[in-house]
Amino acid sequence: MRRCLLFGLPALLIGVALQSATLQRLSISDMARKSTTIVRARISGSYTAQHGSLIYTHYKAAVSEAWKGSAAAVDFAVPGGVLAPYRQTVSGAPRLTTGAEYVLFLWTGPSGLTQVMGLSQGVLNVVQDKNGDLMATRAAATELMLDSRGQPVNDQPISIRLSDLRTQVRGTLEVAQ
Amino acid sequence: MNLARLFKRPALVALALAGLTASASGYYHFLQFTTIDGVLRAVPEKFDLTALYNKTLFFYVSQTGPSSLAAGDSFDALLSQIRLAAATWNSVPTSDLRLAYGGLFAPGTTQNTPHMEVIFGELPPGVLAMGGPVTTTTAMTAGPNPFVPVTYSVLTLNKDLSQQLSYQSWSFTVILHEMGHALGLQHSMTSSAMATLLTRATSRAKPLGDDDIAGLSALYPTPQFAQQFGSLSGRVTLDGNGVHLASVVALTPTGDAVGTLTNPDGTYEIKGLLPRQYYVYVQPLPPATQEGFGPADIVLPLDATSNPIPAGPAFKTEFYPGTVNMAQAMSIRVAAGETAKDVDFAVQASAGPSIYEVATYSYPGDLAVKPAYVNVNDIPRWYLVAGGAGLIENGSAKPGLNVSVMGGATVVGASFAADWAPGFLEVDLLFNLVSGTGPRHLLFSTPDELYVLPSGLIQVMNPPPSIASATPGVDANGNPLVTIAGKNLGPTTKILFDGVPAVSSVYDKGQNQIVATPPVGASKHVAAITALNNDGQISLFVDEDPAEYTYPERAPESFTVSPAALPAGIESMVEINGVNTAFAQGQTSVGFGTSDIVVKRVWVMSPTKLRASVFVAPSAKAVSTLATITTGLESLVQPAVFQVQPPNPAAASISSDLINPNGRATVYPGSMAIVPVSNLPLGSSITATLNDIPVSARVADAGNQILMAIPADFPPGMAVLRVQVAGAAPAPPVVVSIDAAPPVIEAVWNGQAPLAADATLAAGDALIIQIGNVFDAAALADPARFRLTIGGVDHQPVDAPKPVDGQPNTYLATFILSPLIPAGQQVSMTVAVDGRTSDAYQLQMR
Repeated sequence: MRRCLLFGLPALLIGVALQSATLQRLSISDMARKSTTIVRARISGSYTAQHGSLIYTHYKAAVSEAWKGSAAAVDFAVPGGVLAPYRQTVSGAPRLTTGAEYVLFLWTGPSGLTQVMGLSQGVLNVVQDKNGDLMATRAAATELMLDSRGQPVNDQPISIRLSDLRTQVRGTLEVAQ
Repeated sequence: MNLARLFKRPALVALALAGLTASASGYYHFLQFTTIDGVLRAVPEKFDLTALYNKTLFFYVSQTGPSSLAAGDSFDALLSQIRLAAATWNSVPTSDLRLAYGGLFAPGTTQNTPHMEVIFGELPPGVLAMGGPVTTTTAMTAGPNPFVPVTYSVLTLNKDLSQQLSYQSWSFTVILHEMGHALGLQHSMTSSAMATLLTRATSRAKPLGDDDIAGLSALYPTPQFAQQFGSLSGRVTLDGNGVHLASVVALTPTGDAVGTLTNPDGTYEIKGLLPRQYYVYVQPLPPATQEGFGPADIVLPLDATSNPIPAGPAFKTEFYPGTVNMAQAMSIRVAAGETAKDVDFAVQASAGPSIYEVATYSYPGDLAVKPAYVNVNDIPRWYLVAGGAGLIENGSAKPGLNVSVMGGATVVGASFAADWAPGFLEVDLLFNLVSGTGPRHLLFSTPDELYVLPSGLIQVMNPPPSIASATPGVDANGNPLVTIAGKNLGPTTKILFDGVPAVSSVYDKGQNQIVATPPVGASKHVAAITALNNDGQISLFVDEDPAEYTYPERAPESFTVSPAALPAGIESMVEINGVNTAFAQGQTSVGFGTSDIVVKRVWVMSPTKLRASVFVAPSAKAVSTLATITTGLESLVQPAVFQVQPPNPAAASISSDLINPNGRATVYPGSMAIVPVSNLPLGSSITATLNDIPVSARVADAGNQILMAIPADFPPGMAVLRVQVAGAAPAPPVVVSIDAAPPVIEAVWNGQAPLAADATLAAGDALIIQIGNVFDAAALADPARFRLTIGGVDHQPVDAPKPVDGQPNTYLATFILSPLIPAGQQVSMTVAVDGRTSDAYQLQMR
C-alpha cells in the first residue's frame, strides 16, 4: 500500500507540474534565455540614483567578453544603497566589489533600467582555481523547491570552468534561436 | 485546458519563487553599530512611533497597479491580500505599532510623514518582490535606547504578475514576509514568516511564528511585552573570542522556535520567550552564495566608520551546554519579566557547515505541501521528503546521516534517498499515542555535524480542509450568502474571499457545510474561496482549483467628498456621499493617498453615507489628491477629489482626540472631556455643541484646550462637535466618539467565598467576577472584544458569562488564574470591553 503510494507520486507530481513553469528557479539556461545581456566584465565603479521611491546602486563594468548583446561597458542597477541623506536597505541584494571580475546575466526592462537577473542569481564570480583555470562560481541558490515538472529538485552550487559556461550559454542561445 | 484555466490552477504550495529573495539574509533587525560611551551598541532602524498618529503606520498602494495580471485575477483581489498581510502584522498584541490602509496613492506624491509604500516595480526575472526601510544617514535618536528612524519603507511587487495568482498561498506569505522587512525585520533562522522562503514553515492559516511576534514586539514593544515574556542571554565564543553572526535559537520540543544572531563580540539576547523551559542551540549560518557576501548572504552590519563587521569564525552546531547529544542537552528556565543570563557557548571550530538550508515537504493529497504537514492518523502518508545542501551524496543519503525528531515521541523509522524524487531524502515517520500535534524539530546529524531544522515537521490529526462546492444564495433579507460544502470543515474553519474574511460563517455539522456571508465586492467580481483550519492547514493544500464566488452585478458607483479642500494643519469632519455604494460597518475605510492626510476614524452612516475625522498635517504640501474608499473587496477611487490648501496659521482647529482628564482611555456620558483646540487664546469666550445640543464648556487654564462636560444622558456613539470662539470664524466641526461608560468590577469571589481584603491568590484559583456596565452582552463571547487582564496577562472566561438577575448590564464571569501571572506580588486586574477599561482592582498573589 505504502509503496504503491510512493510509486504513484511522480505521476501525480507531473500532473500538477504545468502551472509551475513560471515559478521555477533560475538555472543557467533560464538566465541565458531571459537575459538581455550576458557579459564577462570587471567592475570599474559605482554610483547611486533614485528611481521613483527606490534607491539603486548602479555598477559600471568594463566588458571583456559579450556572450549575449554587445557592449564595451555596462551600467546596471542593484536595489538599495546610499543617496544622501537617505539609505535604503534591501535584503538579499548583492554587493559587488570594484576591481572584481564577474559573469553577469543582465536584464533590461521596458523602462530601460538594466538589472541583474534574480538579485544575486545572475552574478557569478570569476576566480582562478588552484590549477590556474578560470572558474565561474556561485554557491547553491537557496530557492531549491520543485522544478518546472513538479519534481523536487536540488539546486547545485555553480563552479564551472569559464570556458564551459561560455559554451553552455552559447549553446542555449543557439537552441533558443 | 485553455490558458486562462491553466493559470487559475493553484501552484504547488511548495513551489519555489526563484530569486524572490534570491539570497538569504540572517540579521534580525536592520542594525547599525555605533559606539556610545565607549561601548559598541547595535542601533536598530525602526519607525518612530511618536511621529505617527496613534502609533499607526499607514501604508499606501500605488494606483498604477501591476501592468498585467494573471487571467481571472484582479487588482481588488491583490489589494485584499496586501491588506490581509498588514492585518496579520497588526494582530501582534505585544507590538505597539499599528498598521492601517491609507488607500491608493499617485507615485510622486510628496509625503512628509513616515509611511509605507507598496509599489509595482520593474523587477528582473527571478525576483517577485522585495522590501526594506529607508533611513537618513545621519539621524539617530538620543536616550537610553537609540534608534535610527525610518523615513519611509517600500514593498516592491513585480509589475508583471501575469504568471502569479494573488489567492495562492505563496502570494500572501511573500507579501507578509516583504512587509516584515519594510517594518524593520530581517531574516530569521527559525522557520517563521521572516525565515527565507526555503525554510519557512508558516501558512496562511498560521501566518506568524513566535519568532515573528518576538521580532516585531522587540522592535516596538508594548509595556506588556516585557511583563509577559522573558529573555535569555549569553555569549558565543571560540577559543575565547566572540563569534559574530551565530544563530542562537531557543525552543521547546513541541513549540515554535525563537532566535537571534550574535553581536560582533559574541553576545546575544533572545527576547520574547514565553515563560517555560527551553533548549538552546547555536548554529552557523549557511554560507554565502557569492564571494563578498556575509554568511547567508546577509549585508554585513557596518561599524561606526561604515566598514563591514565580518562574521565568524566558523563553528559547529551544539546544544547548551556544549553537546550534540539531545540526551545531554540542558533546558533553561525562562520566567516572565526576567532574563536567564550566562547561557554561554564555547563552540568548536569548523570549516563551515555542510548541511544547511533544508526544506521539507509532505503530500496530504496529490500536491506537494511545504512545510511538511503530516497527519498522524493517515498511516500511508507517514513520511516527508527533505531537500537541502549536504543530505544527498552521489545519489545516496550522506554517509552516516541520521535523522531524528526532537523530543523522541515521534520516531524516524528510516531515511534514504528517494528514488522517486531525485536529490531528496525520504524520511519515514512512526507516530504513537503520545506523538501529539504541532510543530516538531528535525535533527540531521552525522558523526561530525549537527543541523537543526525548527518546525521541519508539523503534526496534525486531520486532513486539510477541502471545498467541493460554493453555492450562492440569499438570506431572508435578501443579503447574499454562500453555502460552502466540502471535507474537514468545522466550526473553527475560517473562510476567505480572496484575502478578506467572511463577514460571518456558520457551520452546519449535519450537512458538513458552512454558510458564509461574503464581504462586499465589486460588481461581477470573482473571488477565490479558501478554507483555513486552525491546525495551519488550508484548502489549497489539496484543492487544485479554489471554489469561486461571483458577485452580483451592480449599478455604477461614485462618490463625492465634502468639504473637498482643507488647509494644512486643520482637522475637520468630512462627509462622503455615495451613489449606488454599499458602505458597511466594519468593512469600509477611507484614504487620501498621502500620509500627510490622516483619516482618524470613519463612521458608516448608511450604505451611501460616511463621516470621517480627517486631519491634514501642518507640513502637508498644497496638492490635489485622490481618494480611495475600500469596502470589503471593493475599492472605489476618484482622482483629484480633495485639495490640500496652504496653512492658515491663525485658524482655530479642533482635535477629535478627546482626553478624559481622569486618565481613562475613553470619554463617556457624565464624564469630562478635554478638547485640544489650536489657536485658542486664554480668556476666549466659547460655545460648544454636540450633535447641535449645547454643552457646558470653557477654555481650560492651560490654553488651547476646552474642558467640556458630556451630558449624562447623551447617547453613546458618534457625535459632531462644533466650537465657536467669540469673534472668530467657526472652527471646522469634527466627529468625536462618545463611548459607553466603562465596565465596573463590582464584586470578586474566590470560588464560593467573597474575596477577603487580605486574601492571597495562586495560579489555578477560580475567580468569579461581577461586572457592571457591560452593555453589549455579545462582547463577552468574543475574546477580541472582551479582555480580563491580571498582572499583564490576558484571561478568557471559562464559560459564557451569566446575567445577574435584576441588574441590567451586569454579568458574572469565571476565570482560572494563569500560571503566567507574576507570583509573590500585588497585581492589577482590569476588565476591558471594546477598549473601555475598568478601574484597576488589586489582587495579592502568593
